[in-house]
Amino acid sequence: MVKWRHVPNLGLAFSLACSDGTGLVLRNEQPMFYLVLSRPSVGSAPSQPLAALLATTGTPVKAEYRDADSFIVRRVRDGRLLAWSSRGLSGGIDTDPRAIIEAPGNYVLAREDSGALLGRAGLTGGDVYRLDASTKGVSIHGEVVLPEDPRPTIDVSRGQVVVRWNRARGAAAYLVTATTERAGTVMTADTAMLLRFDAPDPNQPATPILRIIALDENYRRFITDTTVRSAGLVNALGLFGAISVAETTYQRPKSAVPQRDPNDLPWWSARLTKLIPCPTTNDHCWAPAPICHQTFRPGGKSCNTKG
Amino acid sequence: MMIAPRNQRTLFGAFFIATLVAPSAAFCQETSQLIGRVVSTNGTAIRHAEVLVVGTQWTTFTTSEGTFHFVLPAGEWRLSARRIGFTQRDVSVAFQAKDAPDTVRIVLEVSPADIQGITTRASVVDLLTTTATRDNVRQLPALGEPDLLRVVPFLPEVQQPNDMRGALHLAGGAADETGMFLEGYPLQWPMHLNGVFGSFNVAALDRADVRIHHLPIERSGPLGGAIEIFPRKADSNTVDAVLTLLSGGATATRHHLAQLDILASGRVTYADAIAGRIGLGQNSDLAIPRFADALLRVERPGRIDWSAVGFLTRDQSHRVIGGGEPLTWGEALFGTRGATQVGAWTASALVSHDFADVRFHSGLRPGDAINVEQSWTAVTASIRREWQTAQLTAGVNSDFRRNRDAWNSTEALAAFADNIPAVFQYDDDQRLLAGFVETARELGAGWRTTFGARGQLAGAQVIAPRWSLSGPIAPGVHVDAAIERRAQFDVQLSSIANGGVAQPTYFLEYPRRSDNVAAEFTWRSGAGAGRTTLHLTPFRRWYRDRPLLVIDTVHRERFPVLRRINANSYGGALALDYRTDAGAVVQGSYTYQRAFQFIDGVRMPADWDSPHALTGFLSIPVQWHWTLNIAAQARSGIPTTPIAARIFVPWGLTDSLYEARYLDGARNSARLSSFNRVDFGLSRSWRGLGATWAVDLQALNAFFRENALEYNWRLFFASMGSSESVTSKRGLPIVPSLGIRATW
Repeated sequence: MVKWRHVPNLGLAFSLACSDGTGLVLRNEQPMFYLVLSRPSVGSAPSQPLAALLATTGTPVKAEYRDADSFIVRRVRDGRLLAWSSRGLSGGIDTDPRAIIEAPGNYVLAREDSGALLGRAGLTGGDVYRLDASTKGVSIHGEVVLPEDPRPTIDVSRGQVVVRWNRARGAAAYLVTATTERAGTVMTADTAMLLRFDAPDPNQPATPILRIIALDENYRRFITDTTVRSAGLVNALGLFGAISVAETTYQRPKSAVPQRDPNDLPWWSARLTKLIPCPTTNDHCWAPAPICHQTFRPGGKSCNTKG
Repeated sequence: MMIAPRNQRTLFGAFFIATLVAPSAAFCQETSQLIGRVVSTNGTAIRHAEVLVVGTQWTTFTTSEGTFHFVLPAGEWRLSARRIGFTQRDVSVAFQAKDAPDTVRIVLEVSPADIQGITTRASVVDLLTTTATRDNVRQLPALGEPDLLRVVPFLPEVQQPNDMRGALHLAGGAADETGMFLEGYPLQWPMHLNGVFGSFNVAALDRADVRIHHLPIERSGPLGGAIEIFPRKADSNTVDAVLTLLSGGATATRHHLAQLDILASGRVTYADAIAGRIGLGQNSDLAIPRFADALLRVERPGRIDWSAVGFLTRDQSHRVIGGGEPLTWGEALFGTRGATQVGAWTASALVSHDFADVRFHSGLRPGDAINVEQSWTAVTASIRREWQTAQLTAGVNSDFRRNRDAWNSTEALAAFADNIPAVFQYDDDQRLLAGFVETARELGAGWRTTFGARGQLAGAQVIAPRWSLSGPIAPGVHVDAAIERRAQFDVQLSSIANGGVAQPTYFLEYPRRSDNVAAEFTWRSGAGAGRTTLHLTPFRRWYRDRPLLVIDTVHRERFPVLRRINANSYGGALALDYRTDAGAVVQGSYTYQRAFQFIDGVRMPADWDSPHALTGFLSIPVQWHWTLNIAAQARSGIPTTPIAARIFVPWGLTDSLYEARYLDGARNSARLSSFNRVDFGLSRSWRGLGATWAVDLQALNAFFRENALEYNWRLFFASMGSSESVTSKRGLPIVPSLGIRATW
């Protein structure tokens, strides 16, 4: 017969296997820093004050603004300091992680030079800038090269339109966006690109716009490898990067026809369309993900791309 | 330890010669035929009872008329007859060699206690195997309706991550190291409802044997173990109709219809229609897929026993995008086998072809589609030679598999796993040829040993030796022990995700391997009702070259990139089975097991490591012929990799907009909260209107409303909004259900 008095023992035994989750919430006290140096010449985009964000990493859903005891950025060539000032922001950066996070920087760079201090307009391409900041006993250091502005030219030859630009000093890669292109934004280390004019007709602006963004090595590395925690910084998570932007218009040749399979895009183009605003409003920035053109055995050799 | 091939050949040769020569003297004696019949106490023939000659390798099964026959040397022999649901009985027979056959009649008493509970060890199968019969399954409070694969997690050393996925981990093995076979034919992913349900109508099944520590010699893998499902034998004419809140099904058997025994079964869900009525329709994430399955088995007993099985399962999602075709997945199997016995020789062969696919087509964008096709043709041929105290089995396996995967759709991430590329193509095939040989030997005093090996003849060369020993070590105490090497030539990218469908499978040129050691000590007190059985099962496994998916965060076109790692698992289980004279059954087990992987020299828990697990089942007759069934599970939470930090990634050219980037902490350094579940069921059966009726009232998850799922942390934080709580749980809520069954 079942001994009913033993039933509570079963409950006790079950409690052995019961536990609350452990180690699920991690808090990180490391500083998180974001500054992407750029000159105000951003083509058609309105000039914005340049801001830097300094925060405590906190939890995976909440970061906190953090004050710096000292915040110095200098141009290495001549040692001139940049004119940063604090906005006095405090509290949590508590946003909906499903959406784009809006976190205004708590340090802002003046637009114009102020005495010996450099404003945003005083930044020069090809120069090295160094960061030295101190916050709650942590010294943060960083270094970046502000790329020179790329200078695009449009070549039309035998019905083909090729955009070319100079190899900008300090640039590790270029993001190229042309409104006539279905590919959206493409990252390349080259300095020329064939325009295919294959974007769907509803997205074709009357005057096509070409934008080239030169990326420094820190920025390039930070956005291309999703496991990178810190680029251009010591003792902080985040990014100390720099970009230079050039924008121009061009004409669609009368004989232009779509060229080449859009599936030949590099793998990262789809992801970058999320990072870079669409060149025109209502543009979905569609770009196909890559195709691995190969037959391979996972247990054997690695994927060998044929296409 | 690897044995040099030359030494292996010497070892095998010596063993086989010793095995073959020693027992042959028995057949130098004069023999005579013994014909017998196994019946119940009311004289009804008992079909498919196992009859063995004690102390020898001679075993046979009764026909549908309950008859059996042996050819034995003159002398005195002891026969033992057993069948699940009956008390085992031994009888002694003595006869002289003569022309006319002797006859014997063995009467077995019905033992309802044997088919109570959720599993039974009174099995017709061999050592280290646990069996769940159709009746066992029906006693467990069901999630909508009885499901074979819902019983398996109640077994010791078996772990299922949560209620929402059908992945089964056996003795610390990975989910893709658990194989499923239907009457010996390999299946690929026979699951319904995104992996929540098995796609077998319980009414069409005889039993499922769960073999964790000892596989049949015909199996090349899988490393974790095998769940071998057997359809019912059509040895009478019956119709079985089942209606539950989830589905309706019918199973019919016809015995000797044009000399064929035929089983036909079909099941289709209407839960999707009910869900639509209560607001979980096509536009809801909780929409229930539509599913159907069918099983047909035809057998022709005779000089050459022949049977064929057809099995079909299909699921269809409700979500249609842009007028395209919804996600559908399923599997179709055809298998046939034949066996014949000539004297002491038995030859058998089986061939099967299985085709599994996943399809989807969006109407929004040309080429936005999923086409996954996986076919598997398997052939096995074997011969068996029996002597009085020895047995030799040898044969070959051949597998031909072809997988074609192509998708260009983000729906693939939802269907399979979120760490795969949205565009992918794969086309590969695999041909394997293996040979196997195994001997079994009676050692006397109830001890028995087997020794054999499998050799991979095509593809990577692998020799997988195996040994087992079983026998009594004290009155009432029995031990089974096994040492096996296993090799598996395929991999799934990851465990099936919650709500995902079948994982595509990829072939390995060089196999993953495991070396397994296990023993089971069994203590029995009494028999039938009033008996207590205790099982203690320690085990240890060493895994070599287990594939681990690596995400190349820079070169994503390299997919899948698999690195090989070593791993191990160990632990032990204590299982109790107690049956009272009053018909109450208590079954319970405690399992302690650990599963570790070694990555970059660091030992860390495997994704499914759950150190403590308790299961319990209680069945008590209550008033008015109702039976109360209570099933409970509690186990440690599984490991997970916490998000160590969220950092920002610049978004666009502004300096105030960012995307989130979540950085992983140390792999599997955190653990989800424990899993707890208690299910209640009331069942009653009665006869009326010429049929046997049964009704089941059930409530699942009665006390623990919610259990944590295995969170994908990226999705988890994305869905949390601004909340810092991580205790949100979305497991199975309380699920009431009702089922009615009629058999006539």
